[in-house]
Amino acid sequence: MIRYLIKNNIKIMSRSMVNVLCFILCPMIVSAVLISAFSSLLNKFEGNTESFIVGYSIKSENGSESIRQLLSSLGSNSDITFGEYKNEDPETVLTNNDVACFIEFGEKDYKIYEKDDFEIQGKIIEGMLSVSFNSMIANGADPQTAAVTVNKADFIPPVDSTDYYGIIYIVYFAWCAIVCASGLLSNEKKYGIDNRFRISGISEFKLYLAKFLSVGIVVLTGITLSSICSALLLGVHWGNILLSALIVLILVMASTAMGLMFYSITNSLVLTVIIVFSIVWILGFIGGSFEVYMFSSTPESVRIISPIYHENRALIELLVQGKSEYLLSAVLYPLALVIGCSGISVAANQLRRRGRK
Amino acid sequence: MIILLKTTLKLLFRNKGFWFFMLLAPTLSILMLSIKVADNTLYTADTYKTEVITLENATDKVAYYNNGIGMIVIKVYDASESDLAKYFLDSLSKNGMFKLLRVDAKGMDDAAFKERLKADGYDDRMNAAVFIKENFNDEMMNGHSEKAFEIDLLSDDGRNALFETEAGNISKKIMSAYDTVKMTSDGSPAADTDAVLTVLSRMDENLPTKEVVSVSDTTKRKLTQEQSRQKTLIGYVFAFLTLGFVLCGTMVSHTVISEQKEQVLVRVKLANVGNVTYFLAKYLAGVVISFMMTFILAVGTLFISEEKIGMSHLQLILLTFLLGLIFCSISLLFGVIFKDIMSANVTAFTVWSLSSMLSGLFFPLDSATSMIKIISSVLPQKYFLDGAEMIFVGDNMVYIMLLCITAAYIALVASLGGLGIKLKKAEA
Repeated sequence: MIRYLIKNNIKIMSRSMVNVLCFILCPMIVSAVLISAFSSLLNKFEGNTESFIVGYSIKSENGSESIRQLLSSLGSNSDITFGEYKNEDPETVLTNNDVACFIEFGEKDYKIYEKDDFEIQGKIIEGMLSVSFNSMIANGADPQTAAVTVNKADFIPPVDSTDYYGIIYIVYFAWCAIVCASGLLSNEKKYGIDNRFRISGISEFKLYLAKFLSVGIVVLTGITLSSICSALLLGVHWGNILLSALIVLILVMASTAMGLMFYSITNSLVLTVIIVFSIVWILGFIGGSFEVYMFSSTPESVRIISPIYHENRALIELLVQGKSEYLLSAVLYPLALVIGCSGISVAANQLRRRGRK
Repeated sequence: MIILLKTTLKLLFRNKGFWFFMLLAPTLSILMLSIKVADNTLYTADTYKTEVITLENATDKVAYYNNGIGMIVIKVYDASESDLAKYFLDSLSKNGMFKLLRVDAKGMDDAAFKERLKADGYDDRMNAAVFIKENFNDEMMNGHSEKAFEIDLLSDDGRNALFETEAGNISKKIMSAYDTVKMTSDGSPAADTDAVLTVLSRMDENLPTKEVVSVSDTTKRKLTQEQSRQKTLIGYVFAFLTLGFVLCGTMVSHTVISEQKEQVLVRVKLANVGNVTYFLAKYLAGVVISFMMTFILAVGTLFISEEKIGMSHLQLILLTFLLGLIFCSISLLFGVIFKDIMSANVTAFTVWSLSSMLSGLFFPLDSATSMIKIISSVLPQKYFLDGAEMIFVGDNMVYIMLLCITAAYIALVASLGGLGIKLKKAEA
């Protein structure tokens, strides 16, 4: 009986385009937006920028040779090309040429013109010149530099915005599983299907299980398809596939159970969707779905309330370092939700049934 | 029309959900405006500052100071708090490439620093952390720069090498200054810090003076740190308010959907009331909702000072009311276009989520791609956030801009609504 119900429920849900839109396209669209918005903030800078050109002019002949020598040595140790412009306006040079920044050397001063689109290059030049001048003053004739203690500390390898938001929005939308069931639940209510099944003597638990499994299967399929599409189209990477799949599977179960619980309590689909969306938004807000969780100033004690935080963190850490201290909580927290929400759901349905009798 | 408006309002006022959202959105907004936010707001105003920034707490996060302008972020735990350590940090920040965020860490030992380092490495993002030890002056005086401070790298950034070299250069200068003071005085090891600083400033006089000119868009508004904080809060307030307007607006659209389904619209038309009058009455219900929510917000914000909000109460009320006019009309549009309440709700929520995100209410879009910026420029919330910024800097053009934006969106929604009705008629 349950098998027949599950099959039928899946058929009804699969006919609705909202499911396809919500579980395949939405995670991709939203993650694409956030990947773009946070790309420079989460940008990894591991080496020098690609080769670039720096323009310069020397106003005074006094000491000009030492400046040329300095620039030549800086150029030979990097991919930077220094080009001299005589008697030209720096801003015009920057506008009309493929020059990242411009240095105007005076007698005892220098002016660096930095362009908006080449800020990193401008700062590198600023830093290199400052280091060179300080080195001249500090070392003078003594080539011995001062000893500095430099340690390599433990840190989470940086994740780029593509991987972060590509993963996080799979989790976020998986929490909206109840939308997937909207077609099924509204039809059941409209045609009184539940009441008819109840006459047949089927237990509340079996009725619940039929809905729970069918919704879970459809959501999981949509989410898996979306993950595959975003990996292929946006280049999103995942960490340990088996563990990541386990986390997603359990969170889909928890999300389905939570949605069905609110539906059982309110008996109104509109109210259920509004409540679930609001809860998921708040949990996502504190759990790193909008603002990167490591950047957020939300205290850890608040963040751990959100199951989304545990899942986000476990999935991201599995990707960047292959392990995560949040793995256990990312599995146990939703599992507890599955059990709790399912129990409340069945109890609420049973109470309603008794009330009708 | 007045009867239609009265009936719609009566239906709305009987709905508990309507009252819930009517009260929830302004309440959340008032709470948001009254909280004290941390210094590390999303819209970091002093991005371009080259001075050392002092953080209030060791736990303050620094990740948002890295916003793609090429400066590398260094968090400094200063246990020495001496003038010499200050000179060391100031000299490093004058380099121009390093953004130094200093924390007063008097009494911090190696173990406490290592503990902080764990949090910095796993819950924040920076290039390196520097620990200036308590005996910084003494170690420098004795020529042990390696014991005076330590650099802990928290990234694989190639530019870290420049930071290490510059730290070495400045240490060498300090140690040379100590040697000079010792040589010029009686050679005693307890050299006077003031004398060392005087020698250092003399050494620095030999450095060429640097000036940085940013060849950039001069029309960009520059906000103070306080205004940036207020902008972050206002962004969240607009997000809550638009959610409230959208959800309360969908309640009006529910009446439209159910009246269409239950043939009420046909009966209304028999009473010689046209489509325009009917939808105008529904829109006026939206205006009433905007007014009510604005009123609740106005009462709540009376207890919050204008300095804290960054604008006068009247200005906040105006922004809220205009925002309400736009979003209530958008929700009504969904009621006209969609046949069922569920689809209208899901669409309204999706539109709210996406538009809030794309308009920069949750995070700045300065570094987003041009495509995202184009999408952002067609969203109303973006102009309201811009409007708040204009109010902060005292630009009076804000009123004309917002009135034009509101009129434009209402006209757009009205024409789309009209088109929707015609298409539905054609389908029927």
